[in-house]
Amino acid sequence: MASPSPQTKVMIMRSPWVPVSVVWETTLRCNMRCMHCGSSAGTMRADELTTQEGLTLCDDLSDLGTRVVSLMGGEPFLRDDWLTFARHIRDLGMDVTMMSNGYLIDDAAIAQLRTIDPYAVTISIDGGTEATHDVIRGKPGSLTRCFDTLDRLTHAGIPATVITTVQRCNYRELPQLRDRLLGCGIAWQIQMAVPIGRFPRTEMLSAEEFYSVALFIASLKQTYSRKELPVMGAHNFGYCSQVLPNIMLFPWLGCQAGLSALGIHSDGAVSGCLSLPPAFSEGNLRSRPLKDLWNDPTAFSYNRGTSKDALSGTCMDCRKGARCRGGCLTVSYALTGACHGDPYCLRRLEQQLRLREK
Amino acid sequence: METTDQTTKLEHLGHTLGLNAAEVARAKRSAKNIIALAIVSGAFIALGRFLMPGGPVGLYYTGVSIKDFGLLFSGWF
Repeated sequence: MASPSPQTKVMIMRSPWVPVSVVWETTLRCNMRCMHCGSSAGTMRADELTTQEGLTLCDDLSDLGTRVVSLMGGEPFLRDDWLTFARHIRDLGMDVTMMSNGYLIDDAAIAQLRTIDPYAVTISIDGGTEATHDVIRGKPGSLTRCFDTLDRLTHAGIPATVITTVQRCNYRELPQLRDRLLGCGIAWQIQMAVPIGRFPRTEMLSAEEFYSVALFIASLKQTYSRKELPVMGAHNFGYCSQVLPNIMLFPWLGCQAGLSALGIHSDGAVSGCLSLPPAFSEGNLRSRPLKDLWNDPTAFSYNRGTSKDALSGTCMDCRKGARCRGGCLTVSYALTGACHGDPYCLRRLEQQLRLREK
Repeated sequence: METTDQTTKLEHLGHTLGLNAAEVARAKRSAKNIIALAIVSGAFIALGRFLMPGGPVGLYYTGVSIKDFGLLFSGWF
């Protein structure tokens, strides 16, 4: 009997993993030049997916069981066909989130957004003052315009979210942002800038600054109801603290790249997370069907089937290591060159800062 | 273990972002949210085992929506 073809083998050994959440960089083109941009966005890639290729990608994601597709960039509203993608995603029964810098969302775009009932429209706001936000974003007048966009989104009944990426030059303005967002019905996600792309390591938060922000988020969660201020720390704000309660949306169960999360680059490259470097790419959906890439038993090996032995740094001795799997893979790799050893771990920092005994 | 040193250090860290002593004290985890987190973590792990590995935790990466702030985020953990 002839042995099965490689494609058949992939089907037989179908992956038990499901890409619940997919982040799709629809274009690298951007109208801003943010100093912390992990993908150094600005100019579009040489060979970005066509409209038809994008629609086929949506079909494949639906077949794989995806629930939410986030369209991001670059700036996704710079693609003329963003609404075509968003509408197709909704027609396939999936949710769609638009991740934008907020500058190009005019009344016409808001009217179009209303027709697709997005899961969320996220706007990046990186400072409590124009001086800070506009400098980080490289766009004068952008903070005022972002808040105007947020007002119009909420007025139109579209779920709006602010994403704040904290770094040394803006974290002290979080209280000002809190005051502006309080009672507005806008979700607030706070994440840490990581030294990838064009973000310099010298501007990254120190251990103490990072912990101050975590403490701030914890305080907001305990002080305000979710209606007053629905705030959370993102996937690189943790983990397993022995002093603070959970500050993320869900309990941390380890990096989900290649497990329940997937990233698609605008040229069709596939990786578990868009923030991971090219070495973590699993291939390109132009040269191999996405289903095969996802279901390949050798794919995403850095996360699938990892054991406690894969932990690095001080995570090796942590009793939470098996569940946490060393925090954010991108942070770990960017700072240490190894996987599964994120040094920005609350549990670890609590020892380092002598907030608890070893 | 809570000590005077820990409290002082936390207050110092919180002061950087304008938190007063009462806000810092309130920010610390309590028996209520430790228990609630254990229950929710268990539910997530069970869901992951039965439905899909990792389950909805992949939603971390989408950018949160106001729609996510339901029971799981009512200040219980």
